[in-house]
Amino acid sequence: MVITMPFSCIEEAGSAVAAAFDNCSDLNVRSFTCGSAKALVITVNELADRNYVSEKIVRPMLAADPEKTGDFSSLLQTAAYEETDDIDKICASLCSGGAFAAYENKKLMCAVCPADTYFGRSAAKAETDITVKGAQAAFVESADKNVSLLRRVIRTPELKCETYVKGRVTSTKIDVLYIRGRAPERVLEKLRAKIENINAEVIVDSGNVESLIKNNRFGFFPSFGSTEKVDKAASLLVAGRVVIVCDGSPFVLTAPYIFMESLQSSEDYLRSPYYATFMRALRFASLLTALYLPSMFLLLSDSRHELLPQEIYSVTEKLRRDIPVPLFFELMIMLIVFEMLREVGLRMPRSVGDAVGIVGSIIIGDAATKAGIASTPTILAVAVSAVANFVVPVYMNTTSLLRLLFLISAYAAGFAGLAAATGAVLCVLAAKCELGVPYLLGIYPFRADFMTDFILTIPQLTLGRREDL
Amino acid sequence: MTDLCIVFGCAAASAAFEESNFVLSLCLFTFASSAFSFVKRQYAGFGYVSAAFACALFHYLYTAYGVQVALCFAFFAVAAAAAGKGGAEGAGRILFFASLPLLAVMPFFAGDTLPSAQAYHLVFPFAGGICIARLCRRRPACAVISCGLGGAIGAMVRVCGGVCGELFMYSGLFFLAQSAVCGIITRAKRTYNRER
Repeated sequence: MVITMPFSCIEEAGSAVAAAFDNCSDLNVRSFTCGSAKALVITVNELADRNYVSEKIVRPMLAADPEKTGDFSSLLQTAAYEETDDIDKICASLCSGGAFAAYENKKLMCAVCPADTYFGRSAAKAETDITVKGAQAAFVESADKNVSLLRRVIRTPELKCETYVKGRVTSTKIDVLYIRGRAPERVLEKLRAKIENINAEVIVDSGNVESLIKNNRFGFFPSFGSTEKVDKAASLLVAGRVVIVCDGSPFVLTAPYIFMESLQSSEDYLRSPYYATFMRALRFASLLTALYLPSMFLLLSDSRHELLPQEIYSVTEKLRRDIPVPLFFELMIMLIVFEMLREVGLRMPRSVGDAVGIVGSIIIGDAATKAGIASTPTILAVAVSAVANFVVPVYMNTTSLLRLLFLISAYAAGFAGLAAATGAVLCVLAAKCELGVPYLLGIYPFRADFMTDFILTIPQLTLGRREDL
Repeated sequence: MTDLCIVFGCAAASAAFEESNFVLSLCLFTFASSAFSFVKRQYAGFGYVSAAFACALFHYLYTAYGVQVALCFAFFAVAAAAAGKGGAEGAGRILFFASLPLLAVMPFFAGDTLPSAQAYHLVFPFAGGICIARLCRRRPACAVISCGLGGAIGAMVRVCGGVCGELFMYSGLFFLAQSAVCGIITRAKRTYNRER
């Protein structure tokens, strides 16, 4: 039952809320009288802080003199309250941990006040994007807490926070944070329009927000950055990015996201620029290794072995002589088995997953070579490619798929197929544009100023630099 | 003063031919890309030019490299061209940059010469020049200078050959293939939207 008219008496207010929460045994209704006045306080169990409600709402109401009480400002001791008799607003407030208070003496007064209790975990160490040096604080599941964590790092009123509530069933809070004057206005306008146009039933994670606001819902590459590290999000805000915090998710989204960011780590700015440059070159090389090693191994040891030094080819050929399966299928089988083992390691409880991953890979690899199904050079190529895949975790899933695509292309048409597949992937990347910012910004369109923070790391200059997106 | 896409396209188109056809191909590509740089408007005829370019190119790929290569190029060119003209141009530039190390080491790893196109394939440098000019939209002087550079690179690829030349050719031919398919798709989209 939805009542849109103002309540005429306190009983009607109580019954309207009770009707809206029909069959909800966790609704806590407390009605009492204080002299000639009648009062009512409604909360949802465990969402509202019992002590807070008791101390700041119920006790002042009981102690109030009905003759002197004119409005809620002298009655409630809460930090904030909003007078309303809109049943939708009251329900929304109760669902997010608020309390509904009604007081009737000569006239009826109704208000909602925040009284929520935080029962989530406190800020902990990041489990992804781990660094040896530098801040370790990670975001948690509460959006308010995450915003406050960012405010502790960026202590300026120029850090703006716009809040949206989306998801018809979940009413999830989405905060958009940016530093005024640093984040481009055209990016903000596009992002606001996209978030306002979200039409979804359920939003439970920042990943849902990403899939709802990105340009191409069938896109192959990640459209937004994702981090659980507070320092990384803060440095991106300073660089002119926008951070999207979704209530319920410890990962925040950063936008616009460009390819160059995938090679950067927050630790790069804390250590020697020579080492940072070396590490970035290594990450880029690892990305290429993860993508191309199996297909290049197929080409060089199968169809184009004249390109390999004779000694290396003779060793490979000797080890593969008794393998009954063609090299392409051998590689495919080993890559798929590896993906299975990776999935086990991720989904199982950590203690079991690690054991299954290590034992599984050793036993399967050993058994496959002994059974003559796979050769050691093949297992080595697959293993190196798999390890290299983890060096740039942003593209971990994309690389796994592209690696198979490249392998099939190389099998179908040799170097030509590999070149065509590479060209097609580059074409998709070059055309990709999110919030009006090209995905390959810096590379295409070429920007010399971005090159100082791509593979080459120029010290100090990059700190707090505002990127002209 | 130069456009890397035109350089790349011209190098690949000219290196596909040998001897006198090489010179003829270079001249045709240079003429087509510079002459059609003057044309600012979009005409429906460019769709047919792209189609002719695609047919000649894929026939060359089929005769020189085999059916698997032609089919593979066609599949990926269609997939890539769906991303749009910006993507094709960007991919061309990045592929050219990625191919620069191959050009640098090519003289040291010279090998077998690349398969050559027939005289009747000369339609593809001409139509290719038009398509690349439409894709990049540069001034005629820029197109001429770029074609000169492209011709020099093409000559080096033709003379040196080897695995480096082969890889460079595959990249260049794929860029030409996706430009052709992109031209067709763009024209088809325009026609479809106009008729709606």
